[in-house]
Amino acid sequence: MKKVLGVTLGILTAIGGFVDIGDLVTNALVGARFGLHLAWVVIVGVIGICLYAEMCGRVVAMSGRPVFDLIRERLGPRTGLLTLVASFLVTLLTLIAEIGGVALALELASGVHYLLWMPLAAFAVWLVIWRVKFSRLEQVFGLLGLLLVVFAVALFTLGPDWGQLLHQATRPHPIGHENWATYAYYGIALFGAAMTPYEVFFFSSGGVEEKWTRSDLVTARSNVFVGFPLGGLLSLAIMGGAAVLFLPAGIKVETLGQVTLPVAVALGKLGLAIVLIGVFAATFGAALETALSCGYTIAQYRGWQWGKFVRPREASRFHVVIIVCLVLAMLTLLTAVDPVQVTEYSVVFAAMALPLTYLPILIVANDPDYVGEEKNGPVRNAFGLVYLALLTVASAAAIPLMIITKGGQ
Amino acid sequence: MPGESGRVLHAQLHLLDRQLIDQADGHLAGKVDDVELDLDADPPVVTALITGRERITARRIVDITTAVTVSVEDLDLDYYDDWVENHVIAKIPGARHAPE
Amino acid sequence: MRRAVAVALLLVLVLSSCADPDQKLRSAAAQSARDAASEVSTTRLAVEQLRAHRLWSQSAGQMVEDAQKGVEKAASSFSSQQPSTVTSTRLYEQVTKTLDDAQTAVTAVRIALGNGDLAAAEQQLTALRRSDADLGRIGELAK
Repeated sequence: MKKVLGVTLGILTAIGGFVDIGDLVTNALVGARFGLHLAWVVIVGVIGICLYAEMCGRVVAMSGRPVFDLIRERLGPRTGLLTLVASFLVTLLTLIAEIGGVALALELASGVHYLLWMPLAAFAVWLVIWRVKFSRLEQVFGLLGLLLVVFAVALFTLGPDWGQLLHQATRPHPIGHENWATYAYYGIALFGAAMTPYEVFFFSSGGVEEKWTRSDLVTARSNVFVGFPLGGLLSLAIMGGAAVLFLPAGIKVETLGQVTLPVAVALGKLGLAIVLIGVFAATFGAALETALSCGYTIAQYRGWQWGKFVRPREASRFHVVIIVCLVLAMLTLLTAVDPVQVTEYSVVFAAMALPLTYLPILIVANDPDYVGEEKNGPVRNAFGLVYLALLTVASAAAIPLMIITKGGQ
Repeated sequence: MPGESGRVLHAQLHLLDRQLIDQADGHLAGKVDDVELDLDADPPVVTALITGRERITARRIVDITTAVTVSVEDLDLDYYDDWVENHVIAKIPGARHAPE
Repeated sequence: MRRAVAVALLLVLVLSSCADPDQKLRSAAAQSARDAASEVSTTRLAVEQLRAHRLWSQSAGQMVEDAQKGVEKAASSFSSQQPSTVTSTRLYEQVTKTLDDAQTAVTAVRIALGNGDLAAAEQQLTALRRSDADLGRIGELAK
């Protein structure tokens, strides 16, 4: 019974934790501009993150070592350092976007300017990391993030023409004033949003924080194979709502307020209240995860003591990295850059860093030294390689497309 | 490795860039940055692991699995961590307490 | 030989894109009009939802404030264009006027909501719809 409860809790947390500011903004933006004509990318992305997160979970449960620990070991100090720099910068950029998202959600709820909320948000993130136990922090924000299910309720309430939505989803091509370049650019952005590197750093380090062993493999797998796809459905609901409400009206999504508007239109003030709490929880939870991931990557590359399973003073360099990253995020946002635009760029840069992150995972998941007899089978390896090829293509195409489309315009 | 505890290892695959763990408290204590070999012996044996500015002689190695456990004793592997701890982290309230 | 053809082809392509200043202006007009139309529709949607008691006033106010910034951006990006023929001067003036109208309507809504005057904001709905339709036509001038 307790086991079932644990598994259920894990799944619910995974659903709520799946969606972050990148998913919110990118899915709404793409839904408004392309309808569901890019929905297939979300599905491809979710399968990819399931595939690789499961490998991470297995490596952690069998060896007790998180991903970045192994990246340096398998790639050597030089390539490992390149991976570290790329992953760290992308994660930092995502942290900036998440903190901006928290502040924007508070602005929408209160009417007080987001720049005033921002230092408070960054401080609150630090305080929670400093004082709150890992399992509690993951559960509270994951469960509150589940409130984003209102996006799905809203989509049903809007009463869309399901046939037309299906028609869009099965026709993968640009529409209206869009062209193939913008189509591909936003496809890559969606891919980056679904497979953001920090998700695997956090997932695998979280496994160590919670002291996973072989017997936790079931939990890890159910989180990944049930929780993530349901989280992906949430992403599709966000895209669907925007496709129904904004595409016909010619509205482009540029603010967080617009992201939440379909829920208000469908469900009124109460719906809006719920979605704002959900957005707050999702972005705050993701801010915690990205801030921790900044610390995880550097500390694991260098071999420092890290983690929340020890007292802060025993992992002092890890905590200093987190504090420095939060201060950097705050300073960046104080320049009044638009957090929504930071988000749009962060998911594309995430897509660029993906092959470097995922290659070592594939290698280690095949190494009996780490996973014993729980090695990848031929099917998993075939899928793994296909995705690696896909990630490499997306990564190589990201910058040229960014230039051609002037950042997706 | 010397004596009866000798094991055949691939130094690059099994030792280089591995996580070091302090046997006394289980804390993470850096990475194996380099390996010192005695090439005169046949086959060559590992004489020491290098991490940062410290040299860990082979006899201090307790266990080699997915990480290398060493008996630190008088070595100062935590020099920088202690410095940061004493100058920054310990000054923030709550640093001594486990999170709740 | 093949290389010469390629260079010639590229030249033709480059020239054809610069050669027609009217086309360039049309395309800039369409882009700005679509951007502005997006903001006008957002404003209209916010007011309609506010009227139906489905939106909090501060959220609506926030959205309209953002929309106003967006319209201003679209208008100022178009105003930096350089019309060089008689046709494009006429288009330039017409588009500028339409963007001005859009800006006026959205600004009026922003001010009305700031004063908590929903009735005044609702009065702008007609102007917003008209502005949306006008911008929509300009938006179709180019791909």
